[in-house]
Amino acid sequence: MNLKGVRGVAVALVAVGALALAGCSGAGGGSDAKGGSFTYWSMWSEKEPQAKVIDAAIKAYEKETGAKVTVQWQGRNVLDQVTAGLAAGKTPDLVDQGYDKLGTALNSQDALADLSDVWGKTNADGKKVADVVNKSYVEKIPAYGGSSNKYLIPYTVSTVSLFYNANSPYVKEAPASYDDLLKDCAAAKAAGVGCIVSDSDAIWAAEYWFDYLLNRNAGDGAMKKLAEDKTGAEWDSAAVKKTAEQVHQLITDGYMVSGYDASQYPAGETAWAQGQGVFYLTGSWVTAETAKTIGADWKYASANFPSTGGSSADGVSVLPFGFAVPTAAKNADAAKAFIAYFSSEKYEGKIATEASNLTALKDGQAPAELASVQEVLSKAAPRVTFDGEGGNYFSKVFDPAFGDLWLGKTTADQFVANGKAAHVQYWKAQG
Amino acid sequence: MTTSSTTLAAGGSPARGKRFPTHSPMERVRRRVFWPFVLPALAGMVIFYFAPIVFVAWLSLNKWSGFGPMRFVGTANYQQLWLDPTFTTSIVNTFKILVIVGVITFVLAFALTLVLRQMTGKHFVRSVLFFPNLINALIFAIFAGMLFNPNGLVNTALHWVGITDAPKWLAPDNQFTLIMAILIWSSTGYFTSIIMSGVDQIPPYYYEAASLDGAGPIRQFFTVTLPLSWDVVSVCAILWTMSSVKVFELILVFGGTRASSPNSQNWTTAIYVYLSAFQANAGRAFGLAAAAALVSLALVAVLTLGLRRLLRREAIEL
Repeated sequence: MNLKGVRGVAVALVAVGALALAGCSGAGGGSDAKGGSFTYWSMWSEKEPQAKVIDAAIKAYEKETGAKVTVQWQGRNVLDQVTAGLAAGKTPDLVDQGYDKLGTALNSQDALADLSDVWGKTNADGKKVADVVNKSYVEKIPAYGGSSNKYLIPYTVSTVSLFYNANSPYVKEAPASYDDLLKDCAAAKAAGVGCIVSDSDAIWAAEYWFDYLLNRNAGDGAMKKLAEDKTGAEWDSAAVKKTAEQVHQLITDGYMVSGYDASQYPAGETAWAQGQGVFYLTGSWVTAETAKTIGADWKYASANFPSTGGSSADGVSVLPFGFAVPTAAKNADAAKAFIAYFSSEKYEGKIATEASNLTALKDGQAPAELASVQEVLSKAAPRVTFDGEGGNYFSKVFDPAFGDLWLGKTTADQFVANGKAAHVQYWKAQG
Repeated sequence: MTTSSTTLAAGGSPARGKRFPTHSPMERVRRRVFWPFVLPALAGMVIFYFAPIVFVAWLSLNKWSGFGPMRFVGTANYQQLWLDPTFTTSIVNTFKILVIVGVITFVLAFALTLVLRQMTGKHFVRSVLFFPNLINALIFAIFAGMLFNPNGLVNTALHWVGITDAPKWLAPDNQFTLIMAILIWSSTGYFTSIIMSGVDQIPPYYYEAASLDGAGPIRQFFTVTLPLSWDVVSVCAILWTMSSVKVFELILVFGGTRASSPNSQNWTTAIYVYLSAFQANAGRAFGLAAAAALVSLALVAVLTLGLRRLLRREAIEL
């Protein structure tokens, strides 16, 4: 780095420090932050607003405790660095990522510490973490083969729900049942408008339809059973068949937006934000992704996926992101103290106000465009997307079978047959 | 050209020296400096090339998540590859790139050579042809999405000329064909340039003699151009074999959207290796990745050796 660069960074650091000082000039003091230096490898890049929120908290924490926090803003592939670091004997004391990435990469090898005691600690506002952070977001996350699933203290969440334009002429109110949703689609179709938004190569997003439908048809854990029963018998269940038929019906009834079977993500999403199509079942990140494309009459609305009447399940898919502490961390207690410190309205709250994401706080504010999502979250119990399944099973078994069904190349029965055959072969290969 | 390469080979090889039992001072010095000169490079090869291969071979017999203890599993990873239809698809795709893309690329490159040899402004045209090769394949992968989307540039252009029922370019079934087309487009110029540089060395009087004998351009190509540039062509063939099995980023990004891996119909062995070890939300199967990497290494080795045998000809003195 040249001198100019160094000076630039120094100026930035001073500026951030000044901001942090301004931020903590009020209360503080009552937290469990006893100090102790630690290292933190972050999933954010330095210039992202989330990084700035966390950095402000770090600065305040350092000032309050006299501790030194060494941060590396690694970006999304932080866990590749962590696993490489673990192999080389160099481990951060604190990392952050989504539950699924932390779980599969680290917790599966029991490389993440049990963070149960953090919930009892006091945060920067002087409150108990368990009283302000919504613990139910992480209670059902899978252990991925590790001995405990208590490896994550969430500070932000994404959710998967049904997004639409509140000013759409085809959606008078959030669909209360799956039949209502189909009626809205029929109305759109009658007006010559496609209803369901999708891109041919974003099968991972289309799969949310199957995930929610199966959940509503057969209850919590149905997807897990389908993926993990090695005999493949679950593929022949009535619920899977019904779910496949419901998906197939969307296509045969002509509810898909035109060209969905040949478009590349995010083309469909962009078209949706410009008024083509009605419902988009996707993650809460969609508001950030489409912020610059939406038209003047656009108002984000979202609804929890409606019931099909098949079961009482009505949970909303939540993808928590948060802090974890490697078991190999040398300063685990210091890292835990900081997690507790950050888990407060004062700092975590800024994830909503400054970084425009949902927080994991119980009654946190939400950015305006995500207000309807926060409302869904406050009413429905959280569930784990795909019941925690994913990875290579999806690449090799579920994606190809479901992709063909979604793109109208196979019928429901063919989907079941193809999926079951690939499933059995997959588990046979796994040995 | 041939003479100088023979001299070089003799100079670099101690075995060659043994055939001449002269103990000239020159020869003695040459022998004395052989190891000091070879050792650094050899050490580099061993440390950075052979040792990792040995480690990978050992790794392929274990289950390992990238850190922590390894668990010896014998040939289980290879059995898993054998039973995994996705690995079969990956190998088939790798061969498709090698053979289909390779053949079309070389046919095009020869055709262009035929045209370019006597064309005015051939240097400019050559630069233009070479241009796609300067651009990272990632850019094509991303740009393809814009070009070939249902409402993209290509379909809009087709619409103007009256074609309203355009093919579904980006549908999963067509993606691999499109990937191959992009590869052909980006590598044709590269190989044309190399082959042309060989063809430029051919003295023009061969062509004059051939045309006096009544040979047309096609005949001239087969009796003059091809035999006299054979060395260059065979090097190109080897280069293509090795680069075709490494095709990676184009497929990784092509149709592989954020938060997901590419469609498994499009995987090559390189992608298979990568995703076995680094799939974002899956466990890390380094053992399986190592086994897959070794199998592909073996494939490349066999192919390259086979191709070299196939292409071996007596070099023709110019």
